[in-house]
Amino acid sequence: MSISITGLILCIGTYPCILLMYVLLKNEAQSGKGIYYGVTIPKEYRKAPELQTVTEEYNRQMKRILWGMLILPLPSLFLPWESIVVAVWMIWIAISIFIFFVPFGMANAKLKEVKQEKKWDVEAVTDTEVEIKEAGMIRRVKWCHFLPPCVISVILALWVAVGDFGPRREPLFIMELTFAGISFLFWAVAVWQDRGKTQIISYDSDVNVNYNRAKKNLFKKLWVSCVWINVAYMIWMLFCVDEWGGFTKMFWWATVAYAVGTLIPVIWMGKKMVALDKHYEASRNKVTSVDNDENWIWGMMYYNPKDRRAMVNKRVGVGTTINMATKAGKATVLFLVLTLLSFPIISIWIIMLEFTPIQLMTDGNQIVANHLREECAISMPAIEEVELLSELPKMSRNSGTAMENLRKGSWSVREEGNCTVFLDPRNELFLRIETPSRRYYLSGVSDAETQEVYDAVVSWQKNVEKK
Amino acid sequence: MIIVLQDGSEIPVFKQIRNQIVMGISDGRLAPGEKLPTVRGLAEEIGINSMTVNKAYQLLKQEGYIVTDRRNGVRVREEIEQTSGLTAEAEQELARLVSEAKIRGMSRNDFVALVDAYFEKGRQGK
Repeated sequence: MSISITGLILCIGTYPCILLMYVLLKNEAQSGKGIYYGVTIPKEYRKAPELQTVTEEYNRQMKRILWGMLILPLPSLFLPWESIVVAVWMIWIAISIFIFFVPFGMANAKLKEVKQEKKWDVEAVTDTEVEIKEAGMIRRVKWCHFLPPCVISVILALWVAVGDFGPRREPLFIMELTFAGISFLFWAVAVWQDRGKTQIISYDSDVNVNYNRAKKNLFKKLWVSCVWINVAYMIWMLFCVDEWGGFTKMFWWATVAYAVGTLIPVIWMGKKMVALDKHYEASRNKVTSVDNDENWIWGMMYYNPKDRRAMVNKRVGVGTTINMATKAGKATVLFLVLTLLSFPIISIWIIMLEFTPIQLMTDGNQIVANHLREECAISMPAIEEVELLSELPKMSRNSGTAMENLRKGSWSVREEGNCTVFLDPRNELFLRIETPSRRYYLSGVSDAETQEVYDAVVSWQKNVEKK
Repeated sequence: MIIVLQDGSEIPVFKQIRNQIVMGISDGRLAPGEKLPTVRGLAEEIGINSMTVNKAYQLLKQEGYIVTDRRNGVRVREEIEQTSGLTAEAEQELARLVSEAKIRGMSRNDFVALVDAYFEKGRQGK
């Protein structure tokens, strides 16, 4: 019994996220601001036995879910079918995304009920409160912070597009263009966040202004760091593609460094935010209007049709959240639902990819390779050279599918560059076909099928030569 | 200064902004000559159309509470005209308040005491 490498990679990649989610939700359950499971509890009732009961039940459920979710996908690691392993993990991720919120929602509902029953009233805020000092003026993001890295990103992408990069151009251009887009995305998010409403924490306007200025400054620094890390990654990427267009090992190191590199400013900002909140703790004598419990579905999702802002500050923890009553909020929810729904569909597709064999045949004057709905047809008169190989050269995928029993799409082959590949790597015979415009590596469902097509091409070529 | 806009109120938003700024000037939360936010800035902050804020500012300017100029933006007027009286509209509002107080059984003394309290609040600042 062997362990699935794909499963192991997915396990290593997703388990920390689950643990992180558990810790975050445990922290968000009770805040120093007197908000328990999204319900504001007056000071005098914070030690009430009803609240303790809800907390105990919440902790119990969270632990059960954590252990359940950690154990659930482990048997799939021993399955021999890669697609089924991936499908199990995808469905597991989809479930993990929302299952941890269930105890929170239940605790929220229970506590709201208790609060109403016991009449633990707090003054409900239904008005919109606005700090008019420096309104619309607390802006930390300036174009000069983001323009240079964004311009460098564009220059890098354009350089790859027009420069002499040979077979490296295609994969490099796709990557550089994508990450140039990400640079602009960072800029857009920074501006969006910078325009957020002033958070009112005190009756003293100067405190509000200074607190918000400091907070926005931290966010600006975070996004500026991210955009420069992005540029560094783009530069590093130029050295990560070999002369045949394949990604070198350095690419994976660069990607790991990029992921870790972006995590560092995020952690730094989290720490700074906690320090900032602590610094202003003594001055905090006011709760904001978004703290009205009724505006928070399950205590977590902000829904307030009277508030036109798309982004509001989270009640507990660092960062902002979306107002789901706005168009942007509804679009985000729709996108999330569609993403979650796509998981089982993608899983079925992956299983079909693995369990549908490639078909290789001749059809008139054409060689046709078929797999699911994809087809690769080569006209026989266009064939300059055909070879029957017993061993595949080293190749890396540019785009397409890479499975234990399937290689499909555009692949970069050592010493040849980009080729179209349609084969089962477990076979022992493969066709290498060269046309004036492209090279192909093909195989059928069996070696016999590959041999048959090879024979057909050779005999067609002999017939043409005779004529 | 924090202004409070009532979401479900029948009073139009521009009027609520105007009232809140007048109250701010009266109780000293807004000092003479103090800079007010730009129309766009305040509209963004509240999450409403700029036209609404513009309408409130126009009204405040017309009533002599604020001054606007291109170089300095919007400011609370340094010296608000001392007419020693109320505008016709405010007087009508006061008449309404007195009527309401009478209907609800409030004594004249209590009403005057309440007015005094608000006068004091304005004089001392918040």
